[in-house]
This record gives sequence, structure tokens and C-alpha cells, in this order.
Amino acid sequence: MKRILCALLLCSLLCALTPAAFADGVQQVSLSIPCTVTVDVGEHGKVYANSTTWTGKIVGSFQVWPGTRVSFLITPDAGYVVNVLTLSGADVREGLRYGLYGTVVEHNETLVVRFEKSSTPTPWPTSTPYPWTAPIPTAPSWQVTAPYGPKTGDESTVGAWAALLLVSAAGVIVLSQKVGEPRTAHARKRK
Amino acid sequence: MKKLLSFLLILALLSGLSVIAFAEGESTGGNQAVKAQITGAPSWVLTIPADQTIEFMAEETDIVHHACSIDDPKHIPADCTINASLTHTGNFTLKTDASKTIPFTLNAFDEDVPAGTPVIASQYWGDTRNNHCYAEFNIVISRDSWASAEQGGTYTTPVTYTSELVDHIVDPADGGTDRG
Repeated sequence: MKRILCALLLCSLLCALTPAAFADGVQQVSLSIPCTVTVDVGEHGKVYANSTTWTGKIVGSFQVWPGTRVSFLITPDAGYVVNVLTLSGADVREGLRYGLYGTVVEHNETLVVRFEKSSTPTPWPTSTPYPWTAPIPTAPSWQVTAPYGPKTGDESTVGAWAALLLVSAAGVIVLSQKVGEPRTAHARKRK
Repeated sequence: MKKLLSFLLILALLSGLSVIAFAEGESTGGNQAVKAQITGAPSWVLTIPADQTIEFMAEETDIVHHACSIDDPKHIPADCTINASLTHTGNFTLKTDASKTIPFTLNAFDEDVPAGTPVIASQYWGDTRNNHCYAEFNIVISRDSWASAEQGGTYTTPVTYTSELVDHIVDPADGGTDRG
């Protein structure tokens, strides 16, 4: 307790002995240098960013001002998946959502993307294509073919007409036989 | 006895704090104001330039532009002067990597101001009530320096302003080149 009191006393004395008034301030001066974003794409896929698509085994780059948010659309070829996704050496695969990866660029960055053959068949592409004007990849057909019976949406009318004809003919035969028979039991007795 | 001692210490502490010079910052019209005050003693407000951004590839940029001044002086003795000085580091440093720098020079009245050396930016003479501001402070970044920036990003540098009361008067005829 005494030590604390002594320290406080010393502090108060030092403060009281401050010889002159002063005032300080700091002005921050800043400048920006464009950041270079390098995109290193492997085979069997493509990367779209900054209005450019990099397809196949290629290394390209573009520049943005620091603080710019950049989105990369990563689309593997059919039957392939993203195997490696690093940003300046750091694994960022967890940030990949529906084929889209975004980051705010504060300094030079290098995005490395590699693809590998998928072990399980993928019924749908792993990402939604962008820009929206780009051709939309066709999804694999899921049409189920029944082993027998009519198919939904069958536009052929020949079968239908033939079936209708057969049913009508059968109906006519049955009716003609019934017309030839007596209608009541009394009539049958008289006969 | 302990209680008395504690009471005396508290009194001493309070009395000591009451005469401390203090500086506080506030933003006024884009510039920053720092106030120095000693109760019942000389006081003033140091106004420093607002934070500034240099345009890409600009080789010469005025960073002070009449914005450094000593305002609202009170109880300034006639034989005293308030000097406001600025100091620079000579390098812009990348925000995300302090090892990446861009060198610059600070130019005042066509003279290079060495990094780390205070140079007077504004003065107040107590006898004449004259507040003189030296306006020409330019940050000069050569084309080679711009080109040497291998890493993109935002670079910053602090320009530190200090004001103090001194008991002598610097001759205005010196043109503010007095650096002490």
C-alpha cells in the first residue's frame, strides 16, 4: 500500500513539475499503388474475374486499387472438381461457395486454382455461370424411361387412334349380339 | 497518521493534476485542432492539416497549405514565442507490410527537410500578436520512387506536429528556416 502511495505521489510531483505547455498532433498522408492480382489456372476448368475468363492451363493478371472487392467464379469442367484453391499461399477452399470466391484486395495477390477428376459423378455443374449472358452449360438429362406403357408427353397419335378403333369395334360387336337376344324372361318363354 | 498521509497524498495528486498541460484533438472544418493549456498560464490551439491522400504518380503535393496555425493564444508573455514544428519520416510504409516503403522528400522553401528533423511550420510572437504560417511544404515523390513500388496497396506516413512555448523570439526575417 505504501509503495502504491509513494508511486502516486511521485507521479503527481512529476506532473506538477511539467515545465511548459505543448500540443502535438499527427497528420496522416497516404497514397495508393494499384495491386496486381495474378490468376494461375490449371487444366480442366476456368476462372472468371474482372471481365476476363481464363480457361485451361494459363497464368494471367489484372490490376485493381487497394480496397477493391474482387470475385472469382471458378467453374470446373464436367466431371472435375476444385482440388487446390490458394490465395497468396493460403488455402482458401473454405471460402468457395457455389463456385464463387471473393476477397478484398489490399496488396498484390496470387490466386492458384487446380482441378482434379471427381470420384463421384456430379449431376449438376458446381457453379452458376456468370456473366449471365454466357452460355449456360446443359445439365445432364434425368429423363426416366419406363420399360413399358405410354410415355408422358408422347406426341404420336397413331397408337391412340388404333386403340380407339379397337375399343369401338369391340363395343359394336357386343351391342350387336345383345340386340339379337330376347329382352325379358317372358319373351324368352314365348319364343 | 496513515489516514492523514493518504489525505495529503490525494491532495498532492489532485493539485498536481490540475496544473498539467494537456493536449486534446478535435476536428474542425477538415483540419485537426490540438489544444495546449496550463490553468492560469499560457494556452493556445494548434491547428494541423487534415489527413491527406496523394494522387497516384503525383510528383509534388502541398501537404500543409496554410492549414497549420496557432490559434486562440492566451497569457502569452511578450518575450515568448510559440513554435509549431513538423517532423516527417522520409518513407511511406505499406499498411499490410511495414518492410515495403516508398521514399519521399519534404520540400520547404525549395530546401529539402531531412527526415526526423523538426522544421518550423508556424509561429506566434507574443509581442506583436502576429500569427505567421509557413505554407510551402511539399511532399516530393520522384518517378523512380513511384516506379520502385513493387508491392501494390495503401501506403501511409505520419507527419507529426509539435508546438511549444519558448522564451525567445525567432526573427521573422529568418523566413522560418530556423529549425531549433
